[in-house]
Formats: sequence, C-alpha cells, structure tokens
Amino acid sequence: MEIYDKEDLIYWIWLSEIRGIGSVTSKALLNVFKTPQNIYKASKEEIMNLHGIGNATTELILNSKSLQKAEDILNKCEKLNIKILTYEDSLYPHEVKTIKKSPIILYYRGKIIENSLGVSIVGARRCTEYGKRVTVEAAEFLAKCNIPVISGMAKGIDGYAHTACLKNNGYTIAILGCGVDICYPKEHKELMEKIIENGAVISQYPPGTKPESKHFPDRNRLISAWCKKLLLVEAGEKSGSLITAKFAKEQNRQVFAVPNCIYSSESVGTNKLIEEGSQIYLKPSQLLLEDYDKQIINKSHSKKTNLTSLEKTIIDNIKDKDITLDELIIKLQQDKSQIFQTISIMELEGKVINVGGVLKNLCLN
Amino acid sequence: MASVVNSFAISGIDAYVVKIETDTIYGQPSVSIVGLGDAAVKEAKERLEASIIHFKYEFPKMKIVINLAPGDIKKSGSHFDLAMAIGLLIQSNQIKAEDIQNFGFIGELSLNAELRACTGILPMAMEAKNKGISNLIVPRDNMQEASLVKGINIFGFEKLTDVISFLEGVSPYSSLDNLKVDHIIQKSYLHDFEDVQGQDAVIEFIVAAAAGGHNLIMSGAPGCGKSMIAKRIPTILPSMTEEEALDVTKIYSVAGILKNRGSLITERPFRAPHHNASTNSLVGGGNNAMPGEISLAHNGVLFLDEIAEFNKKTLDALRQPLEDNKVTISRVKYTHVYPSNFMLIAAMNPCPCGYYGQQRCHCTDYEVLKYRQRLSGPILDRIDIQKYVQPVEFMKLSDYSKGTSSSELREKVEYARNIQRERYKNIEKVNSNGEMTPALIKEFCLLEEESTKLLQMAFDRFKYSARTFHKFLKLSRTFADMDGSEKVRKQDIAKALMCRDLDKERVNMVVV
Repeated sequence: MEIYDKEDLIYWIWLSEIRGIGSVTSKALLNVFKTPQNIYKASKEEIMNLHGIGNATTELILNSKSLQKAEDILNKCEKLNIKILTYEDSLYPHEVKTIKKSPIILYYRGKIIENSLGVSIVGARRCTEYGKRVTVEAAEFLAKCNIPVISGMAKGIDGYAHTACLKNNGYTIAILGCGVDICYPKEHKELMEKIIENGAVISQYPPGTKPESKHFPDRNRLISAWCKKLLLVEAGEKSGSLITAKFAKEQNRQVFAVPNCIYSSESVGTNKLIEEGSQIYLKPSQLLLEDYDKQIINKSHSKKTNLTSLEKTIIDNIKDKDITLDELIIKLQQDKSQIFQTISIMELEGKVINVGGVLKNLCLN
Repeated sequence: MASVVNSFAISGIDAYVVKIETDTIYGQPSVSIVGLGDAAVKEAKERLEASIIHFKYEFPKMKIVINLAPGDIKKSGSHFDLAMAIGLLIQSNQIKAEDIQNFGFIGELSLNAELRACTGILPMAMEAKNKGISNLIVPRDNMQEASLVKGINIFGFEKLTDVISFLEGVSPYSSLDNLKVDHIIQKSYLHDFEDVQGQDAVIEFIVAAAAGGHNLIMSGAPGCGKSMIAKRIPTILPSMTEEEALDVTKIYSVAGILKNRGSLITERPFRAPHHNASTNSLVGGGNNAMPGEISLAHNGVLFLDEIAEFNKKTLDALRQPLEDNKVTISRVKYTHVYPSNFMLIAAMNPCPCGYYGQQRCHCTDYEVLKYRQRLSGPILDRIDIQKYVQPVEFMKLSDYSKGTSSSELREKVEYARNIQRERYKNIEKVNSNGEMTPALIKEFCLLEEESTKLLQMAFDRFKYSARTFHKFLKLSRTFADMDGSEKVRKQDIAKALMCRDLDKERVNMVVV
C-alpha cells in the first residue's frame, strides 16, 4: 500500500460515492483529470467537453460537492483500522484493473500481498459432503502450492475453502458484499478474524454497508476478476455461483466445474456448465498456475497403503457405497470383536472415516 | 393426663415417629390441632367429628387439644386421622385399649368412618420396625405395601369400628386375603432386545454401558431406533436386590405414585421426561420438596430423549446428582435428601436437520458443532459412551437374524458386574468401572506397551482432550471384564476407542 495523503483519499471516496456515477464513468474521468481532486475542482465546461459525458452526469458531479460523507467514511475507516486501496495503487492487481467495471476504490482489512491473484473457489451455501470433500482437497492443495485462495466467505463451500486454506497456512482473500466491518453470515466471526490475520477481507462497499442482495452480483464480479482460474464446486439451478462463473467467462478466466451425479439437485448448475463447455475438474493439479512450482504435486499423491486381508475385504465392501457398521457385520459374517478391532485401528490409520455412523473409504487404491 | 398414640410422618423418603397427644380440658367446646400441621392436618377435626358421631360415639363437648410431637417440624398429610380418633376416644374413656404404645396408626378417615389409603406407607412401616413398634394398623388398601416389611404385625381394616373392636379385644383380627405371598417375583418386562434387529454393533456397546455402569448418549437420524433401544436397557441390567427394590418402592410411595395396591417394585424404573421438563420436576422440589425424575429413576434408567432440546440450566442441574448419586432439595419448609443413582441414557440428533452423514443433510460444519454445543461440557464429561445409531432399512428387516434376547445380554452384564463387585468390595462408593477415580484407574487399568501405542495413535489422530484418556481406560476395563480377562488387552483398547463417535468427528470438521 502506498502512503496516501488524507486529503487525497477524501476525494477518492467522494468520487466513488457519487450516486449515478459508476466505476466506468469514474475511470473515464480519471483518465483525463488524473486525480479525483482535479475532477472535484473541474469547471462545468471542462467536464462537458469530454467525450461521452452528458449533461446529466455533469449535473450529478456538480451537485454533489459535499465532502462530509467522504470524511465520515474515512474517519470510520481510521477508527476501525480499515485500509483503502485505490485504483492507482500498485497492489491493486493489474488483471483486476483491466476489467471494465472494477471499482475505483476498495476497502480492506488484513494484508494484500503482491501477486494476490489466485484461484477462486465458489459454490453452494447448502452443500453436500461430496462438495465439502472436493473443496477441502482443492484448498489444501492450493495452500501448499502457495496459491492464494479467493472466495466470498459465505456459508458452505466458501467457508470451507477459506478454512481449509488457513489450516494449511495458505493465503486467502474474502470478497464481501457488505462493509468489511460487518460479518455476514454471523457464524463466520472467527473465520473472518483468522482471514484478516492471514490474508485480507475486501469489499468495494464502505464500512457499515449492510449485506443486501443487490450488492452480491458486483461482489461476484470481483471474485471472478481476482483469479486466474475459477473452481465451481456445487451450484443449484439458480445459484449465485453461476453468475460468478458467467462473469469469469466474460473476463476470460478459466472456469472449472466439478462434475456430479446428474440427479443431484445441488449440482444441476455445475453439470450444465460442463455441458456448455467449462473444463471438467478432476484433480487439484488442474488448478496450478503456470508460474508455480510443480514439484510439490508429486509428493502429496504418492502415498500407498498396505492392507491386511480383513482390511481389504472391508475396503472392498465400503468402496462403492456408504455402509453402516451393522450392515458390514451382517455382510462379513465374521467375529464381531475382530471387526470392531480392525475398524477401530483403520480409523486411527486414516484408512476409513466414520461420518454420522456411515463408514467411508479414504484409501486411494 | 393426655393420651399418647403413635403415628408417623415423612421427611424425604424416610419416616419418623409422631406422638399424637390428645387432651380434653374444661372450657368452651373447640378442637385445636397444634404441632405445625398443614391445611390437611387442620381439617382433620371436621372428619374426626363426623366419623366419631357416625358410630354413635360421643364427641366430647370440651376444649380438645391435639398435639403432634415433635412440635417443631412441619407435618403434612391426612394420615394422622386414625391416630387422632383413637387418641380422642381413649382420652374420653369411650374405649379401653391395652398396650397402646405398641401400636402405630396410619389412615385417613372418611365422613362415614371408613379408612382411606395413604401415601408413604412403606417408609412408615420400616420406621415402626426400627423403633420397636410391633403392631401397625393401616387401611386395608395399604395392607400389601405395609406387609413388605417383615418382622412386625400388620393389621388392615376398612372401618373405624373394626379397629376399635379389635383394640378392645371384642373381635379377633381375621385376615381376609392371603397377602403375604412371595413379593420378589421377577416380572417379565414388556420389551425385549430380541425385537431390535440389525443393530448388533450398537447393542454391543449398550451392553458394555450396562456392564460397566457407563452413561451413554446415542446419536442418530429421527426414527432410527434410539428410543426403542433405550426402552429396553432396563431389561439387561442385573435384577434388583431386595434392598434396592425397597429403596425404589419407598421413593414411589413417598411420591404417591405406587401402583398395584403398593406391591414391591421389582422392575428397574425407566423414566423418560419430556424435554420441556422444568428443573424442579427433574431434580425434585415444588411446594413439598417432592422427589423429581432423577430420584424416580433411582436404581434404573433416566432417558433424556432429544437432550439438546432440554433447557441448558435444567441439564446443568444434573451435574451434582450425577456425581454424588443423591440430591439435596432445600426449601423454606423442608430440606430433603433423595437418592438418585441412575444410569443416564441420552439421545439426540447429530445435527439441526437430523440426517448428518446422509446425502440429504446440508448442514454446515459450523451449524453441526453449534448444535452439539448445546450440551454443556460438564454434562458431556459425565457421559462415557457416544454412539451413532443408524436407521435399519425396512425392506431388509427379514434378512436380519433375530436380535439377541435380553436375558442372554443380561447374563453378560451380570458376569461383568460380578467381577467388578469382587474388585471394588473394599472400596467405598465405587461399585462399577464407570465410578472409578483416577487413582483406581491407575491401579486397575494397567496397559501393555502395544495398547499405549494404540492410544497414542488415537490421540494424535483425533486430538482428544486429556480427560477422554480416563474414559478410554475405564471403558477398556469394562470390555476386559466382559471377556473375563484380568488384563486390559489391546483389543479392549481398540473397542474402547470406538466409543467416542461424536468426539472423533471434531477433527474432520472444517471450522476455524
């Protein structure tokens, strides 16, 4: 972050807060006047003379010369330790700047690193165990490869992506549809604190902005802009994640969709994306960005497990479908004690996992 | 000189002797009953007058004073009626009775001078025996309950006149029905574990819970059979000793909910209060500091279905009784100590929607944890076994072999309990593995090197808390006892490690 003049920032905020002046117009104005302060001071004629700027827009600018609101926002930011990233800042990723509608000013908490562009993972709030597993695997992998994980801090997939990344000491950015001083959903209070500690929470809305549905499409655009690749894990038919995917395509980002059962209502959206030509996501290494080291991949996937004969029978039985311990006992027709003991040890060794009483296979072979 | 007749009052679940002193003094005709009686005691004078006049005896037209001694303890109930009537008739020289101090009287009078049944007969009869009162006169309906106490003469009557003519020696006592049949009949329970099919794995751990006196929580989707299993747990507990049965009957007698004309309760109690139960209804209390559900479940099973829906404060009130096996209820008027040595069986859904682990569950990990945190740590800490129960596929039921019968399972439980009884016979307040103190765990749960390694692995993998360590040792001791093994073997530890289904999941939860 560059050191800003406070005076300067006020004009930036002022410009971003004029109703009716979007980021496209602002950028056009900045192109000519260079700084927001010059826009503030510009005369009617100077603005009117510009190509593409009409009477109405000029009126809007000239009629909102009050800096009170901007000052209030800035004071609030200082009080809450919220930092501001302007369009001119070098930490503002170049790839995001080139997006037509990218905001001219961003509020954030935490730390934005250089090369913060990474892989976005988005998906359903109400996800399944399958979606969770895919998300966690991908986010862990990205964290180990030092690739930033970008998401929206919503319930479900978003939350899992951030959490899994943080647990593996990765860098993660959450882009919000409300002010960065508000935690939405509330259950992610601790998660938000951790993200601020080890990454950044970004929003284009000034502090105090409530999470409203109209804010979310813009947030989604920013999520897709802030990545090189987008991974869509689970999305229903009308999921907001599909909007993110749409933006990503417009912005020439590579979109990966996780395939799933065609009858699963959670994955109608992702399966449709695949039909429309998105990449099919099959393994985390697909998410690697060219400039990252590829060595790490080989290490993590070469684990082989040795199984005893009973363990092998058990794995064979639970491989293809979920099965409860009782069903297994009936199926195997063996000494109960022996089975208990074996399963118990297999759980310890991480070969099987018991989720809600259902045994699931974790072996790779 | 005033006449003195014995009766009894209840404090907690025990009775004490009350001396009913009656005197008639010259003065304005009136009746005053002193000795801190409640409204039921004060109203006795109207019943007294009506029933005495009913049989053409004379109600003295003098100042009548009746004192219930000791006079500084509050007393309640209508069972003093009979003693008062006898006392008054003796005092006014209308009847002659010898050896009256060797008689105790319990019974409420009707206006027609009939004797009505009362509550708390069993503890009163026991107190009579303790105090050397060898004859007890009770209402006929309470006869059976009173005769649970051996070694004293119990006389049951229907009418006041019968009592009087018996006391005067006019007509000898004739026992109408043969009441003193053998009380200890092992009644067959209505339920049997035989009916539970396809849940063999869970039942294995239920048996362990019963065998070692471990508290248990079952988690599972709605309709998976948690309640069905819970209802059958009393059937595999060892049958009650006579002492235990008397304790239970006493509590029920005091609470006034003894059925079957007061026969001995031989089935272990099973109490399943609904989750909107108040703290007082659970631990005891109310105006008269009556026993609550935990005392009614004494020597049996307290089943808390949907334990996560209980009021948090109500649940936390169970902490002390779970630790001490008794509960002290203090009210302005009374302070009672009730026994509450029960086995806690709880059931809950694994997540807000109830279908955790299945395809249809969409709860986030945070929501799941939040839901489970409704159970406070101290309560969870007192529950050794956490087990998932899975629904059985209905269409496959015919494939499953019939479940093991309760009597078979009870044999296993009794086998393990006998070993424990022998082990803990010289140790006070410890009867089962579940009650072991850390010092005892150190003494009785020696681990082999291999077992220690296994435990180490489990702690590395699942990040258990330190206190869980003791639970594993206690449980492995129980599994060893069930096999009759003196040592705790590796397989016992392996089985014990399967008892913490909910804890285990903590490590797979993706939350900060």
